[in-house]
Amino acid sequence: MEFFAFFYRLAFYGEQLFHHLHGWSDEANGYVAQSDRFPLIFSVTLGVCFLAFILYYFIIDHPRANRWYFWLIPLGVVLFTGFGLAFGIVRTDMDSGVIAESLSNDIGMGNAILFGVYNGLLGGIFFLLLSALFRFPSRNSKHSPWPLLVTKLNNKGIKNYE
Amino acid sequence: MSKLYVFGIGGTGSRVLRSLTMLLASGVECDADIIVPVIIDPDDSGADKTRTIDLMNNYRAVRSKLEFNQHNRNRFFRTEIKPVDGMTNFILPLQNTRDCRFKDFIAFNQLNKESMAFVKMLFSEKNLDSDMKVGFKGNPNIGSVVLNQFADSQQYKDFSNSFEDGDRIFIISSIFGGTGASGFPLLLKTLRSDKSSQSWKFVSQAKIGAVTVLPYFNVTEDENSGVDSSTFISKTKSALAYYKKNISDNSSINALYYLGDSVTATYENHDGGVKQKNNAHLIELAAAMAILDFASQPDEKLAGQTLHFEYGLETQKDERQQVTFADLGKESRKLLSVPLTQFLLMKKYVDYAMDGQYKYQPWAIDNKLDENFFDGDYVSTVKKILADYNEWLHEMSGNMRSFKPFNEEKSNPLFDIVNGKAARKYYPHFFTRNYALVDSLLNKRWKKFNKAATREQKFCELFFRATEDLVKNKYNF
Repeated sequence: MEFFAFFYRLAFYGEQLFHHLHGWSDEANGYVAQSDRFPLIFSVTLGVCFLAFILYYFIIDHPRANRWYFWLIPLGVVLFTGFGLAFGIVRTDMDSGVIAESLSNDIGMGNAILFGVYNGLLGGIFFLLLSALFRFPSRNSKHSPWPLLVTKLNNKGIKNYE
Repeated sequence: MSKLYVFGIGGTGSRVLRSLTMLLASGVECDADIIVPVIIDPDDSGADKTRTIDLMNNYRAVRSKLEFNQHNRNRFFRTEIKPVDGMTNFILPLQNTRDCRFKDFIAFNQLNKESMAFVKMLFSEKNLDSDMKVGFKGNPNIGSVVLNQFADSQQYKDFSNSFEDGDRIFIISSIFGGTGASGFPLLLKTLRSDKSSQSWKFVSQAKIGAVTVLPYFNVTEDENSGVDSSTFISKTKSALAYYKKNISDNSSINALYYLGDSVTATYENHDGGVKQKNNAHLIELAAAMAILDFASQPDEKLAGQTLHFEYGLETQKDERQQVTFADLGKESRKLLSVPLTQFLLMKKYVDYAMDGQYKYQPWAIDNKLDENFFDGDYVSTVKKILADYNEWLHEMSGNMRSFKPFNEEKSNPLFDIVNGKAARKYYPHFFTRNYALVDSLLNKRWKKFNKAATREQKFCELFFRATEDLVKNKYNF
């Protein structure tokens, strides 16, 4: 499960919260795979990213929605969902008291919000990467939010209108 | 067939050429590779003539940037329109008609007494004092004298020398005016008999067709005008008798198309000049179709006796009713409905959506159709032609008899523009409708699309393909 934890290593949201989400157990004095929250959080965040990407670029793909400001809508959905999911899981754990005693004193609301922001940003970055790399087959929205690099390069050879 | 020389005589000639240019711009099928218009009209400032020349020059400017080969499906501007080398603005100039009264042209004052008396029998005082700078004002007796000079001009020789075996000639004239009624038989005689050029054999033996337009409008009464519509019918009858004897009976023409209408609009009475700007008319469209019909006739069919053609509508219409595509015969409907609708859809998109869309749409970005291109001369000329096209449709719809296949003034919803034809539901891509549907089709990855083509080529090709898809799926013509 180290793969999923890898994406959450930059633990500016709190070292203790990282350990908790990774599945720390005082009883086991180590990480318990069944308690690892990262696979779920990561999968759902990534799934939402994919869904937003597919919806925007290939299902809706509307010629009137191919502006950069329309692209902010799925991005916003990804950020909001990522935040809500991460924050919600931490809050639920805090409320239900499942956090190991050795960690619980150092995990508060601030950490939950920061983790929400972290996960939201992570989702946003994935969405950005998907948009940058895989939007080219889209019929109407392939140049949203900015024109494809390959198009710019191709167009360099075309002379301006005289 | 390689070239079709189309002589447009008088105001009607120019107006029919205008209709023909509109048809060719929209991509109507034409069996001639090149149309070579030649305008014969002494009225230098005639608005009908000048706007037709402007239109044809714009057509040429747009077409000059296009190529037509196996990679292209585009039919917009497909047929080449070009003037005879050495001819400016498609005009075959007439000598000594400017600032010259008819009596001066024939040197009346230098005639002897007997000749003067004879001339006075043939021409009224008004005829003799007539100023010819705006034409012959409905007086074919003047035209038959003045126009008897075709073969002398260098431009006629240029035409004749450029003529090749297999080329054809078509003559447009009205029978009830001055210039056309007199010019047609004279021109035909010259074409068949002039031997002053190297290619005279090809010209004299060429397949020649003509459309002669019978009265289809009246003019208001005006004592100061030389044009009097009460004489139209009598002039027509005389000319018809003359044509029968001197043209049809001796088979000097291969195909003769007669067009007319009992329903007539009344235009303001102008002798000519800038004010003579008659609205486009269904009859002129039918005359343009006669040219295309002539071009499609096989050589064998045109050999022998003169073929005579008339034109009729499929349905009976009284004067108050508008003619739509449904009223046209099957062949005309097939010929016109698809290309005219495609071109109008392009016009609507260019007017109401293009400027706001091109910065965002892949069809423009991928082909580097940028601000520079859209603000350039090419698109501006295309826009001019599209505006003229809309005006032409609008004029026909307001005329009598009215030809109104489209709600051309309507811009939204886009697909409600065809009169009497409800657009079918067609959502090839997630509820894209109206102008967005056009964008979606422009953005489609078209097979066999030549990415190496010029931007002008791509622009026309894209619009042709998108509108072709739309017309096929939206309307069941």
